[in-house]
Amino acid sequence: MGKVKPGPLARRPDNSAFKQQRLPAWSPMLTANTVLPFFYFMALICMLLGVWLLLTVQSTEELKLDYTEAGTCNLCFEKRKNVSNAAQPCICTAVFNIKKAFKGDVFFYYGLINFHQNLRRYMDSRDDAQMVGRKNNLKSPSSYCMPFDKNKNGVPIAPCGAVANSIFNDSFTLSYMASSGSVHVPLLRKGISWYTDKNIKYRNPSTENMTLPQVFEGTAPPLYWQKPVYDLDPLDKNNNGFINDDLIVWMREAAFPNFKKLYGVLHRANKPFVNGLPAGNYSVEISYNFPVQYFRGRKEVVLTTLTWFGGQNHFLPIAYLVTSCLIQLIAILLTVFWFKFGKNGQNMEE
Amino acid sequence: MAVNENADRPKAVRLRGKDVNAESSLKWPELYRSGQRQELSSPLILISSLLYAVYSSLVFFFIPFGVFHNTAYDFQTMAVTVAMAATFTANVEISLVTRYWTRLNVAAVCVSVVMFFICSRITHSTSLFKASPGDYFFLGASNRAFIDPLVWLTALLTTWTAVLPSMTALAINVIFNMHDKHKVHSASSQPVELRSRLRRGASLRRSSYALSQGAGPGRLISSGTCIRSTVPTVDEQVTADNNPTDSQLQINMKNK
Repeated sequence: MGKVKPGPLARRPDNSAFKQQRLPAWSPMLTANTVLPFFYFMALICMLLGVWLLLTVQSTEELKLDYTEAGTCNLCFEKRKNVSNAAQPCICTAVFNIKKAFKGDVFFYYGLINFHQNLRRYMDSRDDAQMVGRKNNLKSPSSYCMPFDKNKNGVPIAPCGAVANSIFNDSFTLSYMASSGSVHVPLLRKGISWYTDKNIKYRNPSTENMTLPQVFEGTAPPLYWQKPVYDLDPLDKNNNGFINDDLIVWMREAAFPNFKKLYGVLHRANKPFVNGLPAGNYSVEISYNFPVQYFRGRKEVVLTTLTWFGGQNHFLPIAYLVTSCLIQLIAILLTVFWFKFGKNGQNMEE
Repeated sequence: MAVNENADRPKAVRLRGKDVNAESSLKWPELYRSGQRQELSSPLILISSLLYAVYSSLVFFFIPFGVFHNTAYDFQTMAVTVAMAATFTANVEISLVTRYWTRLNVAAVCVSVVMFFICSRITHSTSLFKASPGDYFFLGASNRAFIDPLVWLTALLTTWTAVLPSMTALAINVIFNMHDKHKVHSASSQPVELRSRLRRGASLRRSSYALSQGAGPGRLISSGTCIRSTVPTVDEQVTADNNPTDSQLQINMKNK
């Protein structure tokens, strides 16, 4: 506050540029000559972007195989309708054909249709403090996980919650039918999760001198799991517990009911996969565990190449092109209005 | 958010405009005509604000929905995309209404956008996550989202589509009306003579001074003042003619 000036003008505001609104200001001169070219320019930009993105997307290859009831998976589909068969394994095979070779890195995804991972109550049903490795949360999971926090014997569940409980547990083995016979397609299954997830968000409780199963003593696996959390990957000891890559990928909830999640990347070290996937017949052997008929869902396998823009996503280029057409239409309408009314008005004033 | 901003339109217009001095006010009475006619809080304006809010909500959802549907992108990346689009849209809307760009206005817009990115990075950071994993579970989302071209392209398209009606309205306004506002502030002050017939009794036609001293827009809307016509009814016209209270005022404004 400034000094108090006595007299009738005591409460007058300061004579500063800010308070007397004398700040230097720029005022845009908006006339038809600036506005109309702006609309045409934006329409042009949207069109160029749309065309460029469309060309980029056209260069990707994608193959989707819905294997819910395909091939011999029909029998597994029937088997999984019965809950009492849940512990029994079921292996099935589906075949597909690639017409054009996939050049470059090939990404193998599993996809689910009609599985709402974005349901609010489902997304809340997890305990991030437990999965970051806090010991007291390990044995006493948060109440958000209910009813998946303790099993019927009162033993706490690790990892708790509906998200972990519903983990996708199908596994795939891809084979290429070359002329010399069936060749196993190697998939890299490491590094499929985010760096921050794998190293910060999900941590096993500190082991000290104990082994991982000993750390998890006193907890039970989730109700729908066949294996306990410390034994998720028998081949790689470092991929067990809460830091298991498949678990981490599943726990990152998808935005919409139809989604896909990364399963593996083609390992391009050896022939014939050095340049990608060659054209031909392929078969995928599936260990079919995840039941989808309860929510009328479908399961699929997606093989795709990626560009800087992602996979085969036609929506964005088309949206840009549609927007550019719309703006073009608006710009033309405005130009017509200007010729009919605006220009005449100007002439009349003068 | 859009409804809130548009409901307080008179205040919004005041904040972004500039005051006019007394001589200029007398010279250009059309400047306060919109207040007298209560144009800014008329039902048409309210309904169009509501419709615009509904339209922009639909745009903010359906364009990211179309892009991220059936992809490997997760919920948190989509959330960051929509937040970016909303921030950009709000700033563009403010920029469209601002007529006088002082350094403060430019700074406000820039700071708003920059603060969005900074605050996102802070709330998605490791230290906050470690302090409370249950609350700050967006760890790592902005790391990947802010460098992903798909996220940026989606946010820009959503912003542009959401802002399109306002831009079109502005363009139509520019084309149909030639604004003389530049003359308003650059004219030199000259002696002005005010002649008016003050008619007492026409209570529905309120001067802008009365409007500014009276109830705010909320009260105007809830009491239905703005819905009543500002044209005096036949009875009031007759009353006014029977009681002519002519007072002709002459005011000479001297140069300061």
